[in-house]
Amino acid sequence: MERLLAELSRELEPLGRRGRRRALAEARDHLLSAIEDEVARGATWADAEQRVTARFGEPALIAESLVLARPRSRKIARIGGRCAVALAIAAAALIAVRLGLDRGSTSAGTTAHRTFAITLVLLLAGLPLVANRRRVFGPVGDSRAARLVRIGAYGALCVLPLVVIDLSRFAGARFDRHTFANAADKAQWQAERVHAAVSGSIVLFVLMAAYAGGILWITSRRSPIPIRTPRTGVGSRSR
Amino acid sequence: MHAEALRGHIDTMVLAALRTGPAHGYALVRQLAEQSDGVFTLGEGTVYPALHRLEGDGLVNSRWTQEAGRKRRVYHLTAAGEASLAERRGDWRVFAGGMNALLEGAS
Repeated sequence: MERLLAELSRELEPLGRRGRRRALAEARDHLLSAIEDEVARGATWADAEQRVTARFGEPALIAESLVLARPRSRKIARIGGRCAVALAIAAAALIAVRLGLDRGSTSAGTTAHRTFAITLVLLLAGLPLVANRRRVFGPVGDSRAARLVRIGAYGALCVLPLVVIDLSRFAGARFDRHTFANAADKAQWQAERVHAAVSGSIVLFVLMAAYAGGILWITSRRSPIPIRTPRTGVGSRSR
Repeated sequence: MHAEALRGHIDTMVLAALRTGPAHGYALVRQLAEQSDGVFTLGEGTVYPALHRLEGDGLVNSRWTQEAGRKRRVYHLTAAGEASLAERRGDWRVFAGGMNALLEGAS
């Protein structure tokens, strides 16, 4: 058993120190458990050890499967995804603070801008959370380009609302202290502001939602079956 | 059972076995064999890579435990794993239904 584990240890070099230690500890526990089972069924320790190590499989093949399955790249992708969500939530918090501290223009369109801002931030923060659960998106594709695009483009998209909101808060502010000749002019001006703010917000919201959805869709894994299919039967008795 | 027939289903089998409760690798192999009446006897080279891959995808979590003076890596399903299993179960039913209909029609 020790010889087999030593060989497995050599083959597991690409996993790194931590990964190799973990795989070896699991293999040792597996072998000992199997030997104990054989002994409980009446075999001697030596016979059981021989049988168990014989059916364990080729260390090189097992190591290859473990190296292929190493989760490092997926962990990085998950961390990246969480960073994007954290960024979106941080942007939401910043926007909330900014809107609370400085109300911007008293223009009638401000409410529409605020509604747009809050809805957009909720959408951007929520989309990555549902991305892995919806068939239309799915987990990020198994390539560095897909991960980079999803994290980079989505991160940039999360920052963009800050700029848009900061600019739109003061839209029409130059008329805040304007004295209108009569009430009809003022009502007309306010209606124009509301119309511009609502239609502008809807167009911008649709564009950004489509862009966010597009990023998630393009960078997601297409098939529900992982690209790296398991090496079924390696070291298996069913081979 | 021919190994080729299992290809693509290992992850689902492992998730299904973990649904009954946390288990270490060897216990999983035994459980799969027992629950399938000896049809699925998976080797170490199949189960551990699958467990590591599922953990990388966030469908399974693991932690070290100490049992009878021995370190053991125990795996358990995450909420995402439960959801994925439910989805895979649905997919399998559709697949099996289609295949059954096809085979029945051919006989």
